[in-house]
Order: sequence, then C-alpha cells, then structure tokens
Amino acid sequence: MKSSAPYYKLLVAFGFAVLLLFGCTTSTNRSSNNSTSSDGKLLFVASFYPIEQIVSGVAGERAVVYSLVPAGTEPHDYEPTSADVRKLSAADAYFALGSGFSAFEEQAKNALSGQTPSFDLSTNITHLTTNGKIDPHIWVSPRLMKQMTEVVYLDLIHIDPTNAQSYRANADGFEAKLDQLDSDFATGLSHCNKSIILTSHAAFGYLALDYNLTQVGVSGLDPESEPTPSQIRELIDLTRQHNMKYLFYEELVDPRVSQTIANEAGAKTLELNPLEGSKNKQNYFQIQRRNLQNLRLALECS
Amino acid sequence: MFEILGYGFVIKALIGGVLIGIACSLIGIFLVLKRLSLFGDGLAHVAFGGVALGFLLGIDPFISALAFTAIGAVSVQKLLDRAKLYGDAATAIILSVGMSLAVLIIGYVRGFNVNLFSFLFGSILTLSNSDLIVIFGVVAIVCAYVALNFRNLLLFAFNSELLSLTSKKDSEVSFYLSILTAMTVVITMRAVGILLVSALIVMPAMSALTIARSFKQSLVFAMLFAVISVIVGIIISAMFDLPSGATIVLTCFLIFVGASIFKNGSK
Repeated sequence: MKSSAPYYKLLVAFGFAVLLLFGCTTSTNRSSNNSTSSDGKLLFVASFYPIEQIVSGVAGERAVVYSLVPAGTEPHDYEPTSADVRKLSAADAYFALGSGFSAFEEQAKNALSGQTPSFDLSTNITHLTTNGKIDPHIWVSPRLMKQMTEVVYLDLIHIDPTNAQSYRANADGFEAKLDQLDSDFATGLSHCNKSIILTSHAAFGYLALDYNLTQVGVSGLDPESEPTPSQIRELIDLTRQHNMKYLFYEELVDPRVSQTIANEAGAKTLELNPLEGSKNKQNYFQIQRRNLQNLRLALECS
Repeated sequence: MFEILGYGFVIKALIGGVLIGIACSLIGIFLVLKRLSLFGDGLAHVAFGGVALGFLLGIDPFISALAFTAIGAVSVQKLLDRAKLYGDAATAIILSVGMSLAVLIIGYVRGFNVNLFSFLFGSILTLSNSDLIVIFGVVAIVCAYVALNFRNLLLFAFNSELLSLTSKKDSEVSFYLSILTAMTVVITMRAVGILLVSALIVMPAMSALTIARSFKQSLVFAMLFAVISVIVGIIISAMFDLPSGATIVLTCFLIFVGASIFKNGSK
C-alpha cells in the first residue's frame, strides 16, 4: 500500500505533462490570444526591413515585430543566426516578400514550428522583368506598399480576428501616410528638367514606373556582381550625354563604382536608398522623403 | 575597340594592374620555390579577417588588413620554424583562423554599413588615385627589396642551409619576405578580390619557372607574363563585356598552358 502512493503521484504528474504538452501544441496551432511573448503581445517575424515596416504599421501595439535581416545589412548578404531561428520557432506568424526575392526567405520557413502561418506579401502584384529576371524591389513604390499593407491586414484578421477593428484603423492610418507620400512624389517630380535615374543598383524600376522616370543601373539587379568595363563605360557615356550632375549610390553597398563613374564624367554622387535596411533607425517614410529630396536635386525639379 | 582606352578608369586599371602584376610575380617566384604556393591564398583570407576587424574598430580596412596580414604572415613563418609544420599545414591553419575570425566579427556586429563582401571579389576598374599611390608604394618596396637582397634571396630559395652557413640570415630573409607577401596580398585583394589573389601570385611564377633557363630569367619572365596577363585580361574583358578580375586570372592560366606546351615541344 505504501509503495502505491508515489506511483499514483507519478501517474498524476505524467497526466499533467501530457495535458500541458497537448495544450501547448494546440495553442501554437492558430494561436488567437495565447501569445508566446510574456507581455501579452503576439510575436511576428518579418523577413526584412520594408516587410517589418508594414507589419508593425498594421499590428501597432498588438505585436512585437522582429526583422530577420538586421537593420544595416544588405539582404543579399544575410545569413540567419541562432537567435533568428529561436525567434522563428517562437513566432505567431512569419511575413515574407515572396516571389523568389531571396533564398533565405524560403529557408526561414523551415525554422517555423508546426502550424505557424507564413505569408508572402507580393503574390498578387504584377512584377516587372528586367532581362528575363523578375525585379523584386516592389517596396520602393508607395502604391505597391499600399497594396501589401492591405494583404497584411487580411492576414492579421485571419490570425487574430478579435482585434480586427484596431488592425483596420492601423492599416487605414498607414495607407493614408503612403497616399500622402505618393502624392508628394507625384507633385515633387512633375516639373523636372531630367527624367533619368543613374544608379549602381537597379532597384528603382517600380518608382520610375510610377512617376514616369527612366532607370539606368550599373550592375543589373544584383548589387554584388562586379561591373564589366563596358557597363561602366556605358554609364559614363550616359552621364555625359544627358549632362547629369548627379549619380546615385546606395547606403548599404560599396559606393566605389558610382564614384568612379562620377569622377570620370565630372558629376557628383548622391544617395538613393533602396529601402532594404536602415542604418539610422529611420522609418520608411523618412527614408523615402530624403530620396525624394535627392531625386528633386538630381533631376533639377522646380 | 581601342576607344575604351580613352576612359580614365581603364587607364587606371591598366596601371594598377601592371604594378600589382609585377609585385605578385616577384613574390610568387620565391613562394613557389619554397613550396608555399597557397601562402598567398591563406594570407588573403587573413586579410579578409583584417578588413572585418577594421570595420569593427572603425579604422581604415586597408590599414587594418595590412597590419593583420603581416602578423599572420610572420606567425606562419614562426609555425614553420618552431613547430616544424609543413608549409601547407601552416597555411591551412592561418587560412581557416583568418576566415573564421571574419565570420565571427560579421556575426557579432550584425550588419555592416558598407558591403564587406565587395572585398571578396575586388574591383580593378574602380581603383582611385589614392589606391594607385598605395599600390605604387608597395610595388616600389617589393622591387627594391628584391634588387638589394638578390643574392640572399637566391640562396634562400634554393638552399637555406647554405644561406645559414654564409650569413645566418635565413630567418631574417623569411621574415621580410613574409611582410612583403602580406603587403602584396592586401593590394592585390583590392584589385582582383580575395579568391583570385593566389592565382596572380602563383601562375606567372609557375609559367616562368617552366621555361626559364636561369633564376634571373625566371624573374624577368614571371614579371613579363603577369604584365601581359593583366593587359590582355583587361582588354579582353572590355571587348567581350566580361568581369575583369576573372578574365585576368584565366589569361594567366592560358599563358601557363602555353608555357607547358612550349616546354614539352622543345624537349
């Protein structure tokens, strides 16, 4: 009889453990209010900067948003760390750009636990193609950012329907800011002497499309590939031909190519940020407004 | 086709490339003869660690790479002397240590402002005037050292025992040669990138040693082959729209193939 008491306790403990385990798995299945973070907020993981901006814009106070690619890193250079994998396995949802932007976005999905939903934001967007390759840089266009905001809103009310109202309000606010930015770009770039963007990284195709500009890039779509002599020469010729006083470089990439071209063509370099990350913790709108300022300077707008 | 020579960046690439080729081929002869062909490659990876360290500490990556690579080069010589390691084993050790240090620093900082990886590939087409001055300085030092210590280097390359009998300068020669190799590797890395550094060091030297009849001749041939590879490589890359660094290295290889065929044919 005496020996049956610990046996009984063990059985109860085992039962609790099973229940607990069961409870955990069901809570990560479609977690609605059972959040993984301690302060009652949901944990969302975004693949990189613009995605993080949209998701935190729509989720607002309801969630903590973690960006896989750290602020000052070019997404093409990124490799996941163990902290990233921990965040992914604890996440309530994962948001990626999709459309084959980068291999790491797909790899990250493998680190998600069981039923954690993952969303691609660019599935419904018609992409531009350059030399037969899809141009993934849709986030440089405020109009397409607005479309993706709507996608995030729909995803969030799917995960967390009880807070649909606050998500709607946040999405409306974020979209209004995007609309304002869009109209500022449209009016700011409507009376310009020039219409060519010369850049070291052809990331501005969608921006050019929206505001009737022409983009000429040095190294195609990948900022890592080494430019060939004739590509550099072509850009020097174009800079001279169009009498451009400014050439663009980007924050996260070595500016030597742009500097070489600018030196030779007698031009200066200006930053045009492809919004793939932010080293000064600036938000999407701050970076875009500085882009607009620099564009107006380079294109001689009045 | 030759109108591209009217562009300053091509002229700078040619000047820089020729200078780098001269330094690489001179150093290369000694490394190949001492069975240290991959020494340059190992040091290039150490230099990458030095570049990462420079970004971490906020100093000019060029200077930190130079200092760091020099330390790496001297420690390889120490490993060879003291621990009696084989040359390739010592090279393997510093290569992996340098590279893992770079990866650690990159992981620690989580996000660099400037693309660190552009150093992996380099870019001979974007050499600035100040780059050219540094390159010129290094090449002048390498040439001066080889010219002034020619006899000792010759003994060092072929017969260390004899050198230590005559002047006891073996460790001194290897010390200076290590420092010069480090300097050469760092300027070469700027132009053709880490992955292709050892090609410019080893291949012109190999081609020259294949066909030369004397030591002096092999030095002259090595320089000649390196200079031809750089000039032909840049012109071909301009004509056919190819990346310059890799084209230069493949030209080196073609010259090596040519030299081997020539040698077999003349037997």
